[in-house]
Amino acid sequence: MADLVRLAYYPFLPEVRDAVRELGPDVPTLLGSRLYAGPRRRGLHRVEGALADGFAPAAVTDERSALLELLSVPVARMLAVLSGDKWLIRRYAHAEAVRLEDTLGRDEENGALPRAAEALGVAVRRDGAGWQIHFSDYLGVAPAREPAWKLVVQPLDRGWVALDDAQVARLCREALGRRIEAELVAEAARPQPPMVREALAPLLESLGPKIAEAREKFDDGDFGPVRRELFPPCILDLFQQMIDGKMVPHHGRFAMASFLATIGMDAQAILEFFREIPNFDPEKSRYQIEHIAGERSVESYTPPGCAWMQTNGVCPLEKRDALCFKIKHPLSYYRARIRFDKEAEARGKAMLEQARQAQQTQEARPGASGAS
Amino acid sequence: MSGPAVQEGLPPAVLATIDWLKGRFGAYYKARPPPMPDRFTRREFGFILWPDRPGPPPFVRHRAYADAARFHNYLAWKGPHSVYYSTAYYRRPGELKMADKQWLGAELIFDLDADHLPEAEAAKAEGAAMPIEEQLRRVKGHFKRLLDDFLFGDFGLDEKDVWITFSGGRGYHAHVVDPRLLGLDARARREIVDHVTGKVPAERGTDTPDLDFFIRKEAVAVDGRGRFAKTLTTERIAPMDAPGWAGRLTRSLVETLRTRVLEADPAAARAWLTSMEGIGDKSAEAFLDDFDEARLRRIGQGFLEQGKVVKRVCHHILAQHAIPFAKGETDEPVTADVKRLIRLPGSLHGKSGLRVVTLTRDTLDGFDPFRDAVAFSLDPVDFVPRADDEVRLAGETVRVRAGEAMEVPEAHAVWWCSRRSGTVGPQ
Repeated sequence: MADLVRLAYYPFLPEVRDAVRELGPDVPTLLGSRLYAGPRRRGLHRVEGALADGFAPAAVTDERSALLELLSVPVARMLAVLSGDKWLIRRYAHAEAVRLEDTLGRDEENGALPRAAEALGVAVRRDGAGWQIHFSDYLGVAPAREPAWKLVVQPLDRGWVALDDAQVARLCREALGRRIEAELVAEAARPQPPMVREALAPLLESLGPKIAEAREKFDDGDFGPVRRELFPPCILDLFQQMIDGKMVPHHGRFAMASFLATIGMDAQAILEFFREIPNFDPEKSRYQIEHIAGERSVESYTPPGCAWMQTNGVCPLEKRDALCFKIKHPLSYYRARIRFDKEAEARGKAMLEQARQAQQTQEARPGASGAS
Repeated sequence: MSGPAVQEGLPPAVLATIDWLKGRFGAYYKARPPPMPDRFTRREFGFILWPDRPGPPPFVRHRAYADAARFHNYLAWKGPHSVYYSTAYYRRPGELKMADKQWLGAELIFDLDADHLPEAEAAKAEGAAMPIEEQLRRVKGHFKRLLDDFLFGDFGLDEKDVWITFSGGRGYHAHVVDPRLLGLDARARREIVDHVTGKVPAERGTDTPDLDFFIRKEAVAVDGRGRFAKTLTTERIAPMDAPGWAGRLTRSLVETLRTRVLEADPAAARAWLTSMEGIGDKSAEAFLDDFDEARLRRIGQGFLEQGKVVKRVCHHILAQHAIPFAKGETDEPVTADVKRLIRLPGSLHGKSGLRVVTLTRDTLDGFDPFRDAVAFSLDPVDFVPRADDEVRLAGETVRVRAGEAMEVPEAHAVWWCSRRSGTVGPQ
């Protein structure tokens, strides 16, 4: 079992699962005994990390700490399952998977990568200094939603795709993420023992607000109050054309109407919105505004993306800014601007708070210099 | 053809002709029962039957057969217009609801049809319908590229795992039965389609393929010293013999430069070059002046950087021409589909009377559908043509004129009758 120290980083390996079963306590002890408060805390930490930027690697020095680290995994899994929240399960699976990719990137032991790949069913074989995977296996595991992983850009040689260590690690991450998610979703569909539920209730409760907060941050559907100043150039340009009394063609009206509807403006809000523009004669563009505001049917449409906007001449190519070149959809632009704005606001608040505290400490210190 | 007969049913001559076709097809199946597909008890079968009234013909599906005899008896009895089987294997292929069938896997299908060829579409748009022989010849060219470059090339499939057939109509099918691929879902099959058709991800916010996936910058020297030092880079693409699209793009680039510039009429080459954005008369002249075999060879080795104009021309060709030039064709939804019915090899195509012929890569080259897929005899049949036409089947060219009854070979009569351009029997 000298290996347990090394293996603590790879809790999904079958031999590790066996070792934990053999050496570890039973579930009631793990969840109840004060001896195992550490693993329970670390388990909670794993899930909390998953809600933010991931969790730190294990601090393993000996067999004992290795076992405690490994015991935190079932705790985290039980927490994710008990939450019954598929979104949380996916976040947790993702965090564990990213942690694995990171670990594989640091592990200098030559056998670690092929061992992980084998255990996860990533069917790579050695090819000189690198690796190969058959395209049928590649297609099953590669994250093809990312352009760099599309088969068409791979050096596909008589059925085999060449990979380097980092790419194999990435495939392991995909495989582990999917495995954990599938296992936990299946588990969450089954009734959980009341003992587990009771024992973990306090931890789960402490997670509640954090889940809600993280969810809000990641939620794609809700844009909050309409922030016109953060609109992408294309939508602003359409507004300008209408303010100038120009005729906006159908494609432009559709783009605008579906954009506004998606970010939560209804017909009334759009009309109000135009009334607030100074020096704007609504009569001049009344027909168009009514048309846009009245295009209720568009509410069920997703607004068109940049490619469509360009194809149909709605994108004001010369007015694009740096952010435009990083996104593919006007909504992504708007969402990104909102996020930057929130972050900037948060930074500003934090700075203000810091300054205030600094001032308070200074004031609290009697006789400090500058107490003018 | 007027009066109530049109509304209420088919004219007697048409009905008699349909009856005759049904009989001929039935007799064919009785004499030559098609071989069963592998694991046929796991397959769904479907049939288009001959119509007995106007409108769409009856379509029978969700049939499953535990033994070949029942299937063959059905074919001989009904002589169906078309016979299909599922590319998918199911635990319960006879269930009426797709969800109840329990999918186990599916062949990967490539279907190339004359309808989908860019050149056939272009000809159609110009109002000049391409003759069927020419269409089939072109489809075969594309099909061979699909097989050689992609299925046997990039994908490295074994010939024994790729069943090739002539569809009996206007195209060819390839059924891939490599066990490693049977379980692929629609998303994975979509990736295969995207590979074959060269769908390289576009640069953000554009429709042009992102060449960064294939062009790499190599540091070649350092210019200047200290904080003024600049790394000089050069652009490389993969050499011609590199695997996948990387090598294919280089081959395509070289081939394009060879045909459009090196071996083209100089005036045409100049016109082609100046049609590119950023290439004026002067640049084109400079390019043509010292473009030779040696340069082309260097480009083939992957060196793009041979002056600004060369680089610009190469970029243009790579972005605009190289992919369409080398891409494979396939009916995309068919390849991506995991639950499709496809014509059974050895069965007859109801719109031509030609047989769905199983081929190999070798026999494909010399295959002539109008000679090798003819299923019927040259025995004489009384025939009344509806239009002027001419067809050559099994080496016999027969010309007919609208309305002029005559004796034609059985194969020819089936050809015309099945496409509703004539009837059998004296009138």
